[in-house]
Amino acid sequence: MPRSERGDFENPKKSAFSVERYDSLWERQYMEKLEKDKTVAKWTKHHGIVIQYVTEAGNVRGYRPDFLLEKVDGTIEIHEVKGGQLLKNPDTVRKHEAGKNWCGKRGMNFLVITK
Amino acid sequence: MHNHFLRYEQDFREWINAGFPDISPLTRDFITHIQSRNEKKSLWNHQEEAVFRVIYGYELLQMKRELLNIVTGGGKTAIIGAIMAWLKTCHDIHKFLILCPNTIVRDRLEDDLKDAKVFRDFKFFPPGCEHYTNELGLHILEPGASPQGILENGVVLGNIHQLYQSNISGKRNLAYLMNYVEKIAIFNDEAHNTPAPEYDSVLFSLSKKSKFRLDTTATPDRADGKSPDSRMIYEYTIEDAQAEVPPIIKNIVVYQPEIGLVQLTYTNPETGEQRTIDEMDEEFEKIEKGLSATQWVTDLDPMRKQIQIAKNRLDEQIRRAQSIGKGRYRPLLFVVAICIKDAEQAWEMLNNEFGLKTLLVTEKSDEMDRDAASQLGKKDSPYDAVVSVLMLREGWDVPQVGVILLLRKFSSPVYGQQVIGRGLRLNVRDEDIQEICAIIDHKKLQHEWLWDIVGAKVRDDIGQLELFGDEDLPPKRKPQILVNPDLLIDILDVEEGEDEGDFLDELEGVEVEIGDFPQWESILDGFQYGVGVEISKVEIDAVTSKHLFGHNFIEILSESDRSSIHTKPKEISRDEMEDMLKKNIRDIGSALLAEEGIGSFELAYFYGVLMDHAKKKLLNNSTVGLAADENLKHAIRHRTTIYHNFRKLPGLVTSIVKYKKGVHNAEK
Repeated sequence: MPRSERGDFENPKKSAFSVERYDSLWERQYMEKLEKDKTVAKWTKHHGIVIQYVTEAGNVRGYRPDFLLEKVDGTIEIHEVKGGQLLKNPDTVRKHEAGKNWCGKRGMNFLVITK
Repeated sequence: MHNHFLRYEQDFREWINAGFPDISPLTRDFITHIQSRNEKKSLWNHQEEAVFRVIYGYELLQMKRELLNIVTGGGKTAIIGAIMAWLKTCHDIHKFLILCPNTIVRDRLEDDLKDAKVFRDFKFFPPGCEHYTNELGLHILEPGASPQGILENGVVLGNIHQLYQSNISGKRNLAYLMNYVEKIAIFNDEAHNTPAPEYDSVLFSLSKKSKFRLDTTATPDRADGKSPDSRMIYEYTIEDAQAEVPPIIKNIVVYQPEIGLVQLTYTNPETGEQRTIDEMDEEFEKIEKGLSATQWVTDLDPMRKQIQIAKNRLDEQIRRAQSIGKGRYRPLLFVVAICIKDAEQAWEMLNNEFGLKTLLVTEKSDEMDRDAASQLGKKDSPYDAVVSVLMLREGWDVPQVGVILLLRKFSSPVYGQQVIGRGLRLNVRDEDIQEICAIIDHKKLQHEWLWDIVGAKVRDDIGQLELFGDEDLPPKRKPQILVNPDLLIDILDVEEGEDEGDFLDELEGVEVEIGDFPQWESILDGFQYGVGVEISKVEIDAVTSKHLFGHNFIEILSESDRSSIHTKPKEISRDEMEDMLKKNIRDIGSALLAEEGIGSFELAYFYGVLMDHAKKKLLNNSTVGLAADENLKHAIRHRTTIYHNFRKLPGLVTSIVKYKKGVHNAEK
């Protein structure tokens, strides 16, 4: 797929930054949803989090989860937006397990959002 | 690891706005000096920002180990220089040790630090302290250098291996630092990419003397997957640099060929039987498994097509250089191969079929070629292209690199980003000009993850003969600025080392043990090598359109391959074949050792291990001299599989060196 869907979401109201960068239109839609969602207080894709995981082949990789957000009740969550067809990919499963683990240690929730 | 500074972001901004309160008066003077922009060369905004963060972290947050994650091309050396000047002026530290992973990085740092160049260019020392510049002479840790230089000079620069305790000069160098130096600050420039067991122990010993350590890197994740033990205080990414006005680095555009119908010629090594099949055949999937991904770009016919695509991009870049640079610079094609066979093949093709004057640089290159490599991109350099095996990684910075052709697959983010980083420096820095770096890739190399990391635009529909104008230039990004610090989200800190725990737990899940394999021989015996398959023909410009019928795409094939030049694979003699296998195995050995940060003094032994392995698994238990021709060819075809097998398990190579088994009959 040509990556022509990248772009800048300008002046988000709930993010600390002047723009938030999206890599797909779906991510952009999710940004709009987070802006409207009354339970969400803050969100960003610019969080600098890299989570280590081990691929099926045994390679060590770091992956950057999609969204970091804080709910109005103070809960902190990572939201990973994924296409359903990718969910069964063994490396995706490993990423998500590593993500859950990482969040668990920090008292955060890890959610996979499918379309 | 994550950016530890986010929670301080708001306080940090307020600190700057309030005019830098709560720090020593000396430091405040230093900051005032750095900010005053008269006649001297000034720091870029992000460099200044990095310096302020380091100061804030050290003086207000008592952070003694900090990490700056700064994109290649972001001017790390100037930041290091500014921090040294600050520590010397304000914290009474007068000895600075700069560690790097290899000689190429060292040479680049040497250029900036020789004769205190960086301090003179930027005039980092405030009035009254200018004489400090004279105390910052440079000593280089290298074979044959007297350790006395460590005492006589303010700045000590060396490859991390020069402090390893497994060699005599390393012991001596470290002893000098430990015994005769009172206080030291350490700068770790990309050195964390050297995941050797000795690396941590060197830093641990030095920590007793070290008042401060700054790690600088473009890739904060270590090759062994562990995070450095320093705190990340600043992340300045490729996208940040691209959003600057004027920009700091080039934009990346990736070109992948449109693949039509693939035909493979499959050779059975036992019977020598050859068959040609295509993707429509049932056998295809099975045969493809015997193929290494790299063959999609290194077998003769596909390589020719990749080179054609690269040459077209080079032509475009030359045209752009004429218009934006008014011919002041000459774009260069950089070809990255994984072994000498591929490199030589590409070199020959570029020179003979494509008429591009090409330089070949490998670990075995002589002084003359290395000199030529350092002249690449200069206006009077005769070369259009350079082919390299693992060399020219970090530290080799030639802005003229406008096209990178990948004849290898990257599995680790660290090396992938470093190679791409070679092409990021700008030739022309101007508000309205956007330069690109064109990268020639192939879908079968599965680099999507890398293009995600570096924010590249990917075009996967490239025909062999297409030429483009400026439509490839990605749209300008908006700068991402912190505007509402109160909307930052704070993440709970976990105890040091717990992240590593996560990581080890996870490794257990895939039943690999990190780091230690005393019984490595049985692991090697388990490596699989499929049947030898060679790609004889790939068609990439045959697809004219895709039509949607119901829910399925049906590809309409047009006329077949239009490529006019065709040379047969060169027939090579038995001697050449033997020589090629040995050379390839030696290259693979050097590469594997280098990646684990083990010095080349282990190469003879490790080469023996690899040769033994090839003998058992690929040469039907014969030595190279006695093996059948077919077996030799089989082994050569599997060169990249050997490489990938040995690096699959983190720590395997280290274990092979650590637990030496018997004396192997290395064929030298």
